[in-house]
Amino acid sequence: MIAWLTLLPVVLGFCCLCASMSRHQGDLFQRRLRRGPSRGLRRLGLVLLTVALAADWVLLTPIQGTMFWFGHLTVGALIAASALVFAKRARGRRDADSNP
Amino acid sequence: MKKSLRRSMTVLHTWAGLLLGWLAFAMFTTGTAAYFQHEITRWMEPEVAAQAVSPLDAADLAVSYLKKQAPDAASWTVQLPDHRRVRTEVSWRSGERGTPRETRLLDAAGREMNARRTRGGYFFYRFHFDLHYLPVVWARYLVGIAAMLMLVAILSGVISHKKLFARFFTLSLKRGFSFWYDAHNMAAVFALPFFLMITYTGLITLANQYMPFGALANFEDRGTFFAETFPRPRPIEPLGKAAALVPIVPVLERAQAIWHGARLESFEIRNPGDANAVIHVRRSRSATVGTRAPSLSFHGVGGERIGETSRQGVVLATESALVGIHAGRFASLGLRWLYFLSGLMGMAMVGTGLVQWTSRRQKSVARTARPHFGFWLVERLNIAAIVGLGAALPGYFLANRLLPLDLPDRAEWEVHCLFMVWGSVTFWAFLRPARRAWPEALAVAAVLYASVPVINGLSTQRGLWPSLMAGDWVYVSIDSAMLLTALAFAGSARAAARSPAKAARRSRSEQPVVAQETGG
Repeated sequence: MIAWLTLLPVVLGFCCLCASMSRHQGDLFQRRLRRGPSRGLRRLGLVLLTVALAADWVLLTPIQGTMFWFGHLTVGALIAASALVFAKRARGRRDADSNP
Repeated sequence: MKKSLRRSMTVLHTWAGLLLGWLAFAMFTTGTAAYFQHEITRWMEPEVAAQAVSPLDAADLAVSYLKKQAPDAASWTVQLPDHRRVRTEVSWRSGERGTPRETRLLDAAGREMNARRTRGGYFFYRFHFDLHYLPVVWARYLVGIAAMLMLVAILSGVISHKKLFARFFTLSLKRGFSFWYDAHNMAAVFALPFFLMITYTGLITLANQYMPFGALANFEDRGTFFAETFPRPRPIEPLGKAAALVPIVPVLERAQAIWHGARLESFEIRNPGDANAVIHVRRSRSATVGTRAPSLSFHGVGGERIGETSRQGVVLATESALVGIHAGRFASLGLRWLYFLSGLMGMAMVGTGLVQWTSRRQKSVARTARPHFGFWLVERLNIAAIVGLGAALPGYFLANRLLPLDLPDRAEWEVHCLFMVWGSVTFWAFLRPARRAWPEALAVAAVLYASVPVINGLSTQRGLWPSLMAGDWVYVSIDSAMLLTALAFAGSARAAARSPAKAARRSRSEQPVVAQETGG
């Protein structure tokens, strides 16, 4: 059960990676971020994913940990992508309300 | 050069994915369900109560039962209960290997249970590589070709998709091709390591059949190769002199101690009641990643250890680990759910890929008076494979509850029902226009899924609410999964019914503009 705790850094990591991509910054921040913060978010995302892998290895065996990590990557990416879709939809609705 | 490579890979990806994509979808679906095969079997045997019994107590009770029930049998086999299987399965043969086996299920008190005959989740496990109604050898070749094409499609897909990672989180909310393209991309990338692992290790599982040349070059025939590589305990002739069997529990405890406390899966007693009785104990396959479990042999009268079968060498250990990673028997509950989720992503990847093929060609087909036969066929096969199998699965579960308990060949009839539902949806798909067949078939599937917990509640004492109250999470999970899947199918049916209507409205609103442009 404790291995599920490492899902948190994976989700946060993917959220950072998503926010670092200029394609999605408009949906998330209503503007494009400068290069520095984008790069910082990308690095932070990768660090969080690595931390999750290390935690999985420590909490479980290397084989089980690696398998869990790959599974967490799938779940984490799904959560981040779903959150982005909801954010996009909400923004679309807000825009439609403000410009009827 | 780069461009032409990418273009070649795109063509390869398209055709490798399409040719046996429907079979790959069925393999992914049933293989994914097989990760919970024991839980499905538990749901399909409602007469079996979940009572906790230690494997050693179960072994003792099973031997007492067999002594009374089959004292003259040539061999007894006992499948011990564990955290996933709650019942003890005993079986016996009157002769050597190949003679028919009698099987019974025992409860926690060692009493025979009158459970309905079903193949349970084991059917899904076998189907995903043996198929059904086909000779096993041919089915496995077909499955191997589909798995190889899937591996090619995955690798060529990675090379051909220019923006695979750039569009990592992108899902277009517009209906039509861009939605299917993004959904396919997303499903494929999110569980990419799993897809590479599962297709590659799947091929490894049956590699001896697909590439027997190495074995044939070094061994007399395949039989010799298997006998030497995967050794079985040698048959021992009975002496014909009666002797009391050693108590089973100390023997099993000894085996467990040798394997550092690992769980035991089963044991077989050859020549029970004879002075030459032998007990073969097998370690659980879920104890380690490797799937080939070792076994220990003990003398059935003296109780001393007389041999062991375990495979040696790095190559065999690697093969065992690769097959083990594929089967996931070692996985804890959490990891099993992750396997299941990744399997669902695999179904989504293949399904969206198949629909994307028709979606990409939809516009050009709409301009022609009659769609090309290939397009027409792919569209129907998509409905048959994706929704047909989707509807057939609850058909199997419903048959388990609705077929008479005393029906001859009941277990086989449950499987026939699955194929009857699948065949009916396929027939429907070929009969109706695709834009109508999609929502209709999806709606039928939604109704079937929703019926499963209802019929379960009406026909057994183990409906969703009583199971929830009793804390029987296997029943709660399966019934809830059925309801959730029903909702997903109903939502998809609604979306599929809406999209042709929307398209028709759009084309009507575009007509005057087109007429003006063409001077009409």
